[in-house]
Amino acid sequence: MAEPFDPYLVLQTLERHRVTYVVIGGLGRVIHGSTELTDGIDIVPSTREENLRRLGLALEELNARRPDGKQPALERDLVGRGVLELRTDAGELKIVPEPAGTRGYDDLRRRAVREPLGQGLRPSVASADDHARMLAVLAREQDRPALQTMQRVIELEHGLRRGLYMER
Amino acid sequence: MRDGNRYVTYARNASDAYDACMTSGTLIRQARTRSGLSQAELSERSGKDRAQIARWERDVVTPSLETLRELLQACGFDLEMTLVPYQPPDPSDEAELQRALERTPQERLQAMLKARGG
Repeated sequence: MAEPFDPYLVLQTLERHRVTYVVIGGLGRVIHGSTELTDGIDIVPSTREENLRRLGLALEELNARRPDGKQPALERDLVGRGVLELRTDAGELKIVPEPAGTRGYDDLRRRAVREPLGQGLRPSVASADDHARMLAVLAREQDRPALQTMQRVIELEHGLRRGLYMER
Repeated sequence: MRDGNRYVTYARNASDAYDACMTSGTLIRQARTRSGLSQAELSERSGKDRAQIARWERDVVTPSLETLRELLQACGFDLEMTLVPYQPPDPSDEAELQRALERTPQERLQAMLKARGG
């Protein structure tokens, strides 16, 4: 049986606490059109002090725990760590302050798009180009199908954009 | 570079490598932003018109391969191109992706949640 996963609950909690972040990873790729399955949410938060405070409150509400069962302390846990993996009541949540090949939130947010997901949610999702960039830099064999899918999405989206230009 | 051709492209400076199928516009924009240049600064460095750089970046028009290389070099990068065997997308994967792209982001998310039994 699949692990509980309620992305709406996670995103609503982040929104309620006015956390600024960009969605990346499997969920971001699914929103772009990938048909893979995922059990969690990966986010890149702004690392400004006030935003980390808000994120901490959201994590508390989601009952987030580190793999060792302890409560996360963001300012300590994010230092020198590539990914902070957490379990919440609504599924896995990974906090990735600086994904491979990027300079973090400020880098990704410029090309990110707010995607309507229903229930009043419009989270900021990293662009397909940035998803491909992150996977390419990681160069992991297991990511190859996801990278190929993102590349195809980019080609198709680019084709659509080019079509729109031609129609004008 | 003609639209529709598939290349493996690498924008390279020392240890930095990027491997993805992309457009010339994406490549120029990434090289420029990675080097921290504005379009005006790239225009000054490369001797190309700023408005034309903007059109190239938006893929409204496509630069020649030689011009693309000059632009990337002005950003401190170089372009390596390698011919690789072309593998057309699997027709069933392609059909599945096309169906997914016809859905809204909300429908894509809900289809995934349904597929995983959640």
